Amino acid sequence: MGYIEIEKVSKWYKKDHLIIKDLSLSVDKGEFLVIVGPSGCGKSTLLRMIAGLEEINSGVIKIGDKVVNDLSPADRDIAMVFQNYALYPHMNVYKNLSYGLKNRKVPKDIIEKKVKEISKLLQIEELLERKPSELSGGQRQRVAMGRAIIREPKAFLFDEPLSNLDAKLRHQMRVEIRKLHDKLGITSIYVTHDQVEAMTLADRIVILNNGKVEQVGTPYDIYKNPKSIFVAKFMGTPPMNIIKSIVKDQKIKIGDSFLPLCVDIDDNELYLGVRAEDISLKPLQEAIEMEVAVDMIEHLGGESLIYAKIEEQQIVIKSEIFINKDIEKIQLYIDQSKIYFFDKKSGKSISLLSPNCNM
Amino acid sequence: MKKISFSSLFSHFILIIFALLFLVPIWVVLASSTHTPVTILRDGLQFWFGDNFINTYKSILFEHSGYTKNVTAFRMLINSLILGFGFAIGKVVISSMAAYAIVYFRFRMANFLFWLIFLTLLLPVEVRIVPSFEVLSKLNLLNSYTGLIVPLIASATGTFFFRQFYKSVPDEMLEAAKIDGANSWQFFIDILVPLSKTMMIALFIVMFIVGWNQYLWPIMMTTKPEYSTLLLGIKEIYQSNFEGTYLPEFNKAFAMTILALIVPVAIVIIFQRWFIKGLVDSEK
Repeated sequence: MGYIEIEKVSKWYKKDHLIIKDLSLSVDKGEFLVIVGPSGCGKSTLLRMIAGLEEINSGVIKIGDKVVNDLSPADRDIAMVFQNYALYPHMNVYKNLSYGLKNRKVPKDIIEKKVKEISKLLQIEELLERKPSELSGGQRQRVAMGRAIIREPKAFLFDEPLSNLDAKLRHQMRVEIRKLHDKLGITSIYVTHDQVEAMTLADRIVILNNGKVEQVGTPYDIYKNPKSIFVAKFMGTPPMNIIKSIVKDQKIKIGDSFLPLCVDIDDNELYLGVRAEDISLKPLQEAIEMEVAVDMIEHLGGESLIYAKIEEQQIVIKSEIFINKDIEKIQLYIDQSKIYFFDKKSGKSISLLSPNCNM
Repeated sequence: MKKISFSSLFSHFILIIFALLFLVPIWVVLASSTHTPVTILRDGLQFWFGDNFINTYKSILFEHSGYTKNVTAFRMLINSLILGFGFAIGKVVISSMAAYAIVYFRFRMANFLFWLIFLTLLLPVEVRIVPSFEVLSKLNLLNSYTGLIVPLIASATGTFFFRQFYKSVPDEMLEAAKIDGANSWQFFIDILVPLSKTMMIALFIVMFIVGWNQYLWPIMMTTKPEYSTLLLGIKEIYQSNFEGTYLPEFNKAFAMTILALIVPVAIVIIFQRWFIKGLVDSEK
């Protein structure tokens, strides 16, 4: 039983167009859960439903054993950090921080003590008299978080809080958010479309696609064992290479090589998946070896991305070896043990590593 | 020496011409109001001050004059101020709250109701003046400040401006306030009103002048001179000038005109800073 429990929740604006489909999810106390997915997958809607800003059409949401379906956002004891901060522009930082407490009739001296405490924690002590328009993006972000923290809610909800910041600041704030979470230990749900944020922040990641949960797991688990092509392509940069392959006589054809197939499948085609970093330019043991034509090379400094084609299908290889840009053909080695297999129809992963299978 | 271009010379010339066009009549009225009626009758309009300034203004402000001889211009000034402030404050309050209801309480037909309000812009006050009068006389509100102000304070223009403004306030603001535990009243008072402060002041100034300059409605509404406004007063003094058997006191009529001018000018000067800010600034 989780701390925040979402049970068979559905959401629709029009009856025939479901945004969230029968979704169940459980968040443990103190956990940092990141919900990630492409735009339009319903992740923000889900968060807003937990916050109470969006109505639930069916299902139950519980926070700390209490059904909150009909409670107003203020009574749910949650705090939310918005993408555009949503600070009150006419109030100074002090008032922005204290507004929620003031509305809850907290005595003045306690408010003052708390504002001091929080502003110290977030290093915004010198900014208390300033208005939001006089703050930088990072400072506004801090104030927005301070406004959430100060009430000591049961849960923090983050709605893409870093997407308005530049890359450097985003990285810095990301680290700070995680540190803050470790310090305060408050259950957090964080929505983002950025898989790097998801990987770095999360205790557990929920991958949402089209209003449905594709996979839930630790960042490592999701990276190592993607359960579908969607997850495989979504997590990791560059995305996993997916190659359509023909199955013939219990063998999978890849380039000019063949892999033994030890399970029965109905189809004569399936998808192979292999991460860019699992393709090597140096000879490996137990590897598929092939020569491919190079399309383009991107040098990123420490590493290079090589775009090549296997049977007219684009793949990307990440390599730490420096390669001359005008090279035309390249020899590559794919580690057999790091190849994923996906069913063509459902896109679900197939495990071919049954014990009686000798590759 | 800085070179003066022809175009700048020309535009200044135009500016000066128009400034004179506006200012000279006012200047003449101001100057003439400080002369005795005899001087004005004998020598025509005056371009420089005379020595009757204190006399004229003292007598119109504090002596009972006019048609019925029982109201002073001071009383009328107070009436006009009550009308102007009541009208302007009423309009700002009513239209901001109406717009708040229309934008934030998504009740059924809100949009339809808004357009219905907006439609009343097409009807000038004169069209509904007879039915309004009828209603007020049945409510026994003729010759009262309530009757003078209340029928005029519903404002389609104001509601429209506030609606547009509220629509431009990001939804997150409302959501953040909701999570912060603000109820609808607190959201309005704590968030929306301060945000729209500059707009409220701009609307207040414009509406104060409109209210101050009301003529037709007060003239119908008020039969008792105690409720007469300054603008009605000018007319009364004029009438008594021509219909009475006394010497026509043009200086007093001019003085009343100056009085009727001073207050709106003062209001604009005082609030000018915010007024311009409200028109230009869209800080959110």
